[in-house]
Amino acid sequence: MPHQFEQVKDSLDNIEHFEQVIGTPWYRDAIYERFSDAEHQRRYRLLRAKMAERGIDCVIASGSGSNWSFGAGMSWLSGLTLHEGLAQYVIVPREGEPTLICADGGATAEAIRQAAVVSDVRPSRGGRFGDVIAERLIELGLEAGRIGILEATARNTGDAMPYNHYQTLLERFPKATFEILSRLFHELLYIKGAEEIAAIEKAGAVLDLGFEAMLQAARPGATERDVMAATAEAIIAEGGEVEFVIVGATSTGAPAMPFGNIRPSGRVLQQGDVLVNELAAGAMGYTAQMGNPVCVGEPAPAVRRFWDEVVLPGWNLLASYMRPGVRLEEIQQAGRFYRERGCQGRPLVLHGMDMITAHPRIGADKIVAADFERVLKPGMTHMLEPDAITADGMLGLFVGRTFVINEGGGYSVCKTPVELFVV
Amino acid sequence: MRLNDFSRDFDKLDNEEIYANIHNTPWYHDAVYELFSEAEFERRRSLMRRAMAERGYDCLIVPGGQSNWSQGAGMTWLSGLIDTRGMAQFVVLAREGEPLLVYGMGGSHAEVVRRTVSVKDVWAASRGRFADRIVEWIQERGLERGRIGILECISGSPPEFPPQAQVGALEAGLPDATIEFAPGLFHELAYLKSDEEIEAIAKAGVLAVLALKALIARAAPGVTEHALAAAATRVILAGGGRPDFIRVGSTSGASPAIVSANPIPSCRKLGTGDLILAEVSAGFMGVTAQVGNPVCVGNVAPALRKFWNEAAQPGFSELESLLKPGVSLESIRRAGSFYRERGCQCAPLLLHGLDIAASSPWVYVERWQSEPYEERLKSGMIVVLKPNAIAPDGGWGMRVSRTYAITEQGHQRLTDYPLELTATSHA
Repeated sequence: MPHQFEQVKDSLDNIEHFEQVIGTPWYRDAIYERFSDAEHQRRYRLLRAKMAERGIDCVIASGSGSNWSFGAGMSWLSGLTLHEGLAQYVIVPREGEPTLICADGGATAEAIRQAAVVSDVRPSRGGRFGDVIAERLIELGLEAGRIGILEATARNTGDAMPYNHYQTLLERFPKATFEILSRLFHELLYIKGAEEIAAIEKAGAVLDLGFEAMLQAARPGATERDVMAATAEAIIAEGGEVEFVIVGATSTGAPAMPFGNIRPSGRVLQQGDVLVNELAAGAMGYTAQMGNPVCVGEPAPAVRRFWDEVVLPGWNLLASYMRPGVRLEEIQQAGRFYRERGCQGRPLVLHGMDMITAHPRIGADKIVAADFERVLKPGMTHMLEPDAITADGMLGLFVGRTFVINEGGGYSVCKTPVELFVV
Repeated sequence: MRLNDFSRDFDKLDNEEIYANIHNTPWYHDAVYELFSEAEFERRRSLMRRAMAERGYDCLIVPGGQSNWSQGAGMTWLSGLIDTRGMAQFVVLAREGEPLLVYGMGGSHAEVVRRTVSVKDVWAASRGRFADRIVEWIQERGLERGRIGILECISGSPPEFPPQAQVGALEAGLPDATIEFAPGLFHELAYLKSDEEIEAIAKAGVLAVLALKALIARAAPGVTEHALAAAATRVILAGGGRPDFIRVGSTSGASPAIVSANPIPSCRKLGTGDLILAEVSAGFMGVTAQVGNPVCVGNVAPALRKFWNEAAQPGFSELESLLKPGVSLESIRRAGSFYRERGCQCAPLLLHGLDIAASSPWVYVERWQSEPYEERLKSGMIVVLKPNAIAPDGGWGMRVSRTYAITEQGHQRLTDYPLELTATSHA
């Protein structure tokens, strides 16, 4: 049970007191950007409407990291952007206050209380997440309730919580029904509210700064890691979060890289290299992505020609489809441009963005999408990311931008122009 | 399932099935990584296989991280893969033969991974269905009726196991197997470090200290907490490491109100005389090291100086003097009473072990918690000493942390930042 600071302030070396302390003055002047209360109320209304439709009494949403997750339902419902584990949970009953369950108590939980919008923050008591969830469900009188668990990822893997946490719930509530709510999170999020779009725009602005830092750092003698480090620093210094910095260098004279390197290495940049990259940065839990090749000195003529004749016109063609009313099949069809020019590409041409990568996915030979998202609509956010690859499979020049679809068309949240940058 | 050879399929990369399972490409051939030696990985696999034989397992499924208090866990230890994307990444090890690594992404991502790990058999999980390849691999070896252990993603009590959907798929795919959880095994194998591991932790320690220094160099009035975190991040990444965590909190030195670093650095701007509490955990080659120290922006408030001189610094030194082989955890716990004797208090945790990230043993002011084999310090153990002295009124404190290898002679400080109340020159 929680202990008020005034009662335990002189016995903080007691584990129970420290772990469960609340009402401290700690971190009182920390400053966080937050969504408005109205925005959070909108989210709860959306979720509760779906709960009512499906007869769900209570939803449990987990956090990240998990594959293809960046906080997922936990961040969306609590405002907490701490990516320390799948096992961070928000419990939202049909009525009443939500509860956030975090890993650590003590000072960490007090910091989380400052950063999150949920006032009922409970520590896991050393990892006993299942028990803490169970206690809240009992308080809510849901021992025989219908409990929905949101998936942690946008890929419908069904991953929602560590096995033993799930088993604890099954064992403690034999009369309750537990159901993994596949695809529901995406349904709630695929059309963004104005505040959500503003956050994605901020993420885009942070990405522009990260890319500018990349241009500054990309010099002969620097390593791929140096470039990644400068990019990440610029993103974090502006209050952004790094989801990923993918960057790899290869010689334009004898290239051997179809896409950036997910683990930038100690390879030293040389004159004539090209840096293939993709960046993802978050603001207030929402991410934007971008990618644009950067040449270290003038590239080999064949690479310049590849850009001028294939990469850039292919991009311009696809970008012209980023507007409401366009069917996903039309974008897929436009993606055949690369084959028509005698080249190829990575399979993926476009994907949706919830808080991170999500559906729909348009591949060269397959579209994965729900019925409600097969036509572009205002409020959608998509990452257009064709990666034109040479016919011999040796070089890909990835270009990507995150687009917001609005009534008037669509726009990239990054202002960095699409061009073959030469530093 | 099959892998597609680049020499045959190089011109069909826009086909999703071909691209996802492409291998033997020339891509990333000139990427440069620091890796443990094959002998080191063989040592680890041998240790694991000996434990399998003792406990009667035919096969072990070893998940990764990230999860709370995890940085890859057994998966990183066995394969060298440094990717904290999720718990559902698996190394599968039978009693004999090459292990399997099932990674979340295919295509070029998997080809990068193949250049950074010791495991030759790397497969992409198709759309997150990790269990499909694991089941197939186990069946190929005739172990579908065998005894199969699943390790935890984090050591500790209680442990944390892979996601329920992945375990459920394994159970469904292997109905005749005996599938059991095997908690505690990884820690038992990893708590004593090899020379190569200690060398890597020392490098992680150097990165952590450089990151702390970069953070301090950036600290000036008007600079935000997250700008300090950014400076530290840059140093770690440029040095080939990965941040495990960078915690930065700040408060007025005249009326302080934090006890330890903020896990979510904020937009708060520093002012002259502020107290900064910073903790950095840097990863390198799949191991980590931690360092934490208080920093004052320019002027040091007299109360802070007094607290440092009379409690935080001498308390830490007293505890540090106990770090040598043969010392019991109980002795360390008792030494934690120093803070009470000086009229102040201390957050509960004094010391923890370090497998890849924080692990057993745990020494608190009131009690300690460990496995039986680690109740006394031994040469080869890695520990983080991190007492968090707190003022009598509970309103503020100073955590100091350093990482140590226990040696035959005593200890080696692996995050060797001076034990001082640092004051920046900016004011």
